[in-house]
Amino acid sequence: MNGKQIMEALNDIDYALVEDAGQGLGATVRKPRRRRWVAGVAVAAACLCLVGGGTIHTLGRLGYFTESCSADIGTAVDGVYYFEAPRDGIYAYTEATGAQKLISAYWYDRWEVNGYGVYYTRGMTLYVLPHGAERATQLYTAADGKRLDFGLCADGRVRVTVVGRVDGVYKALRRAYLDGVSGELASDASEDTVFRLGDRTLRRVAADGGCTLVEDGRSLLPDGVTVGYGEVIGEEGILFYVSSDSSDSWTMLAVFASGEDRLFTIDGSPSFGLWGRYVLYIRQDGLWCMDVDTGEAWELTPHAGAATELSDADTRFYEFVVSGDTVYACAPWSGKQSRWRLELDEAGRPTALSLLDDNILP
Amino acid sequence: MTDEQIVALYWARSEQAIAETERAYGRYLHCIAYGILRDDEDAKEITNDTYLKAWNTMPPERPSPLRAFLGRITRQLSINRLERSTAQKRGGGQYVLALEELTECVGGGEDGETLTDAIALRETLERFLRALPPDARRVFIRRYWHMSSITEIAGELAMSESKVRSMLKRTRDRLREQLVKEGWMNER
Repeated sequence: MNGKQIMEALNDIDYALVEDAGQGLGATVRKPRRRRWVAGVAVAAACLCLVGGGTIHTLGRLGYFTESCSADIGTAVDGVYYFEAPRDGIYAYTEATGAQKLISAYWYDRWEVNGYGVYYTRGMTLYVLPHGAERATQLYTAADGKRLDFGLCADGRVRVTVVGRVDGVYKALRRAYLDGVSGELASDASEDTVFRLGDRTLRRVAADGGCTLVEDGRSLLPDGVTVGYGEVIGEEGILFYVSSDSSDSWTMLAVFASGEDRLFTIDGSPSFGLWGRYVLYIRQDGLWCMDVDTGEAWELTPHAGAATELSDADTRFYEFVVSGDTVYACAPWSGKQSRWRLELDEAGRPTALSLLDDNILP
Repeated sequence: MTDEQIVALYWARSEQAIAETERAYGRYLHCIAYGILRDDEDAKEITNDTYLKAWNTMPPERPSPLRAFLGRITRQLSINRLERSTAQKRGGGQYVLALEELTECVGGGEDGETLTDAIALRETLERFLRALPPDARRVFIRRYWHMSSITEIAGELAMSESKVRSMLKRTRDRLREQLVKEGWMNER
């Protein structure tokens, strides 16, 4: 088995999968001429569609035609873990309340969450459900286009992209930055993102081949080093991905509220967390910990006395997020969302993990 | 003109078949070729080679849908062209990077493949792709079918580059798991 065989086998996969990838490359839309008898059949078919279409539409929105029920990791915000139960909806979990359903899978296409609320799209409209509120607010509706994409900036703005077909090719028709609360066009329309970290204010500024990080007018990065888009926000600091050519070796910059930033490289998969001045990361299916000040790294082996006996699939770590001393993880094959506690030694260093819940999904 | 009518022109050995194919699918095929080769002239050549191959294949073939048939030819011809130019040290663009990523995932073993293996491997890949979350599937196919760059995928799907990288890495890991599970390869 080699990469070329995979590449060649991919050439022959069901073309519906290729089309479904949303490429629409250079497609020329051709409408076949409708014949009279076809029109008659179409009327009958339309009646049937009215009956069956509603059911199919519902199943489609719930993802029954994707044949996928694997879980993705959620997001931890202010002590609450938000995650998606496939074909069910978005949940918020705390130890006190358990998992509470916020939005049914029927009502959204994509979602993200920040300190203000849960943002989601349905069709060409963007909504926000503020934390604690019962009703969602409509933030933005695109009058044209085929798809509405969005991303949450660390400074509270929302970047919306309206995608449409131009001459048969999918293209971004418009990009705009919105105020994440009012939905109005943000006063700051720049691509830069501002991060506030204790008393520190950092600005990520787009540059050739990446971004620079600027504080008080000076760059935090050595010459020739850039950071990419995307970051991991911890309670005491932020991890920035530094441009890297290898998929298994990740150079990162950890910026702390207390100062003493660190540039370091980790061998592992691209799922990271920050706890104090320790970076948690995945390596060989296990969760590891590295002291950013000393570079020392060790594995946080699950406790032998875990409450539930786990299968191989469950004990493997693929993705995780950290919230206080709690680690939430999910294994793609099982579809479970597990909850773990970081165990500390006398010096306050994370040394192990203990399982709290095999699966917090209701 | 419908696909059936275009195919009929090929069967009638009418040169209008080429003109109609170009009108209907020329831009689409050029996009596929350009995505892999990153050279406009090369992409035009490959698009023309696709018409020639279609001409030589029909008859006896009666492909349906025609778009898929032509798209696959263009992709394979583009990859062949790229491999030749890579052998001549003329670079390799996204194809070489994508191939390296897959080789890193599954290893660089011998080909040793029969036709039966190829069909079974394709079925494994289809099962694997269908079981992925839609976003992950879209990113994977954009990268390894169309050879789009990380930056292009991120821009088009409104994701950060690091998210695309991490999604690809996770998907490759899952692919490896599936290949091991189904006996295509051994654990490392």
